[in-house]
Amino acid sequence: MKPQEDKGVCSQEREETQSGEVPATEYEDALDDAAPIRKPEDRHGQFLLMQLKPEHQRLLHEITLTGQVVLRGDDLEGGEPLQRADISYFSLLLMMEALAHASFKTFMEYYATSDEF
Amino acid sequence: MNFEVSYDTYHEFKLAIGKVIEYNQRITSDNFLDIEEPELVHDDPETPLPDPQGQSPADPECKGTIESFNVGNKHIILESDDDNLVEMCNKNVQRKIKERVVEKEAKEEEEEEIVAEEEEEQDTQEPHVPPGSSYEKEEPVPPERSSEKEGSGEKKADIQNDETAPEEKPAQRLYYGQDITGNEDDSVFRKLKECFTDGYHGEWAGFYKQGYPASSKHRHMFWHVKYRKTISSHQDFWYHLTDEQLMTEYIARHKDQQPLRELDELKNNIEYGCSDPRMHPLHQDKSEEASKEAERRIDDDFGNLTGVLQSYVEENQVLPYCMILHSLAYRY
Repeated sequence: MKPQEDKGVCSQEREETQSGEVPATEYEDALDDAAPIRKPEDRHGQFLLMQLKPEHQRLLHEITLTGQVVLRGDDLEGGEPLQRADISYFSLLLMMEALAHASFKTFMEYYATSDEF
Repeated sequence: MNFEVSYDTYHEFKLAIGKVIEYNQRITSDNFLDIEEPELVHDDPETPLPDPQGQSPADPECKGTIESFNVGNKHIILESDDDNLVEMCNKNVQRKIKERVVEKEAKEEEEEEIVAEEEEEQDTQEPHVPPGSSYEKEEPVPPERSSEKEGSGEKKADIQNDETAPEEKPAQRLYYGQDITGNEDDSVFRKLKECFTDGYHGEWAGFYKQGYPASSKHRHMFWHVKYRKTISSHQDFWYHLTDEQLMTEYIARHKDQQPLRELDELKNNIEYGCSDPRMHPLHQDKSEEASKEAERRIDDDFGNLTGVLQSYVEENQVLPYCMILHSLAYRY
């Protein structure tokens, strides 16, 4: 929980979301090791992330972190893979959209590597 | 993937993110531009407080006085509780309004006076100069005698009293190096009024432009033989015409005498000059002649027929009806 990052979402945006079609339930920010907020995109990502349950937030964080395994060779362009504290809320937002638009089969094949599956 | 979760968790997670994405479709990062919690800003003791007058020391308009306030800052004075500031502001506004009104009225009065003077001057001068004449192209001309007398009346009086003073020479008016003094009085261009009924000829005839046409389009009128220094021939005929010939030629041109005459000749000579050839004067004349010839022949025929019948009656004392029918059938 990083209370200083809550300032990224103003009361106006909260009212706007609450006056939407479906009232969004807002949870606490369960990611205490995410990258600090620096850009409007990060605030946007945090705003959407806080509408997920804490366990889902952590799961998204894990998926985003482990999703870097698809990068091979020159994909990193000489850089090191991102660490847990380097994952920004904007990265989480992109991963959330990618997962939301992925087919269920693809989703389960790539990310749901459970023994119970 | 190096982590493992249950299928149900993944399924619930995917549904959750799908709902979140769907519910927030209209929200973009543009909604989060420059968002700051105002209370957090004020909580920071290092945050500089805004200037209550809306002016910083770096502002060039900030001089620390009420007069230096711009229009947008007047409301600060009006909203303040200081009555003195409000009174000063009102006085300044009233003073500026009075100055504007008084200056405007003064300017209007001056303009009216100038217009009245110009009208008086124009009334004294005749005829009137229409706008659009090329004054800029005119050469500087010495002022008229009357104006000289008016402008230097006192000096002339002194000079006239002085016997040793040289004789005063009349002012010369030059036009392209030619002396045209007096031309404004006996200008040959005055004859143009014969063809100009609206007085427009005075604009370029030199009546008040000190002897030469005001319009540059007609300056060639002065380049005739009167002002020529050579006797060499010139391709333009007006270089050789006298004043009278020049005016006659010009008036004839202005009245389109030559084209009208040529048109009249063409009308009378060209066979198919009209859309309806029967209406052409030439054909009308021919038609009249033909009709007259026909009338004459008819009269002759009837005259001849009458004479034949009378001769038959004198010889035979009778005139059978078959003879009349036979004569008519033979004739027609």
